[in-house]
Amino acid sequence: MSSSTKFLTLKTCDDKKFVLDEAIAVRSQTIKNMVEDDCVSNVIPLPNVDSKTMTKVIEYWKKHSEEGISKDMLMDFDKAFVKVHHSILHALILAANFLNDKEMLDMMCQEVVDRIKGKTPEEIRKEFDIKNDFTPEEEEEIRKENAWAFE
Amino acid sequence: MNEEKNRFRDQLGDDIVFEILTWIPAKSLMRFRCVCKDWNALIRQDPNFVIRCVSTHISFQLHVLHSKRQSSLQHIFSPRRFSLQLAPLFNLDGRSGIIICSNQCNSLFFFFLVIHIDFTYTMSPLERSNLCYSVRVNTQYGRICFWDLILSLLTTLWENLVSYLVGICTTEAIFRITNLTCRLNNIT
Repeated sequence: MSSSTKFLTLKTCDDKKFVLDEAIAVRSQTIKNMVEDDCVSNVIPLPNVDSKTMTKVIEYWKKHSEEGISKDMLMDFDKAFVKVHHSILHALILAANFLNDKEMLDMMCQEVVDRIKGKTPEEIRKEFDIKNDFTPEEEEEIRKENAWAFE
Repeated sequence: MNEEKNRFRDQLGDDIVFEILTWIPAKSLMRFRCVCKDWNALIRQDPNFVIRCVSTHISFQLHVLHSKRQSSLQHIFSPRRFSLQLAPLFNLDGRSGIIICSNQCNSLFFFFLVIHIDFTYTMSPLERSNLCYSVRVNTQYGRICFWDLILSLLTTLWENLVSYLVGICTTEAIFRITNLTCRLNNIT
């Protein structure tokens, strides 16, 4: 290895700083672009990510960058990683989206999908605090059209 | 009413809600039309949404599964290669029907066309067009999100389908379409 390890400093919206190996940080396409465009000074600001979320993201990145880690171990890690309250899951999705880490974003979206796909409309509304803005007649009409989906 | 918080959407933003919903299996999607007007409009009417589901996911291949016996339908419902969530078969005059289903793990959409037809019957040009018509009639039975799409797919597909059938079967048969390259231009 000719070049020594380079570190980047990331600053979250609540002013916490994270020092991270560049090789790991560039899992974020957003950070990678900044590094490649040479517009990284000392600190990379992440205005859309808070420190609590960033800690989780870095935990994920580090685990996925470990050398010699087996696929099974990663799968177990991922499984445990996504078992969080949906507000945290949503924050992680937003962070993965902002950081442009497609792999992580896909995994998170899949988790949301797994959580909601078996639910009834009532459960979805309750879980996500969505207001039902249909009249009973309108809702009945849609239910009738899609009766098979409610079986 | 407009002040009401839509937390899911507020938290995630339209783009991500859109992204997530394109991953949802077809059957759940149809159920989720009832959640609120926004979701209904997105799932039912937003052409980008439908095209997205389709352009990223659709691919079909046609297999002759079984012939003659009605009981062979069972094999369609327990496909070995895909994990599938099935909507009921829409039956038309006992001869043909369409199943819409999607892959549970990644929401791939598959449209199954189940046909049992007499081979010679199909061969006549007259009956062939009749079958095309049957598919159209069939769409009136279940009005669901992707009907128009299926219809256009099936209509454009029909030529290939029939020539494929001609090559393969000699009697009543059940077919499965699992791999069709979807050309976006054909979807209006």
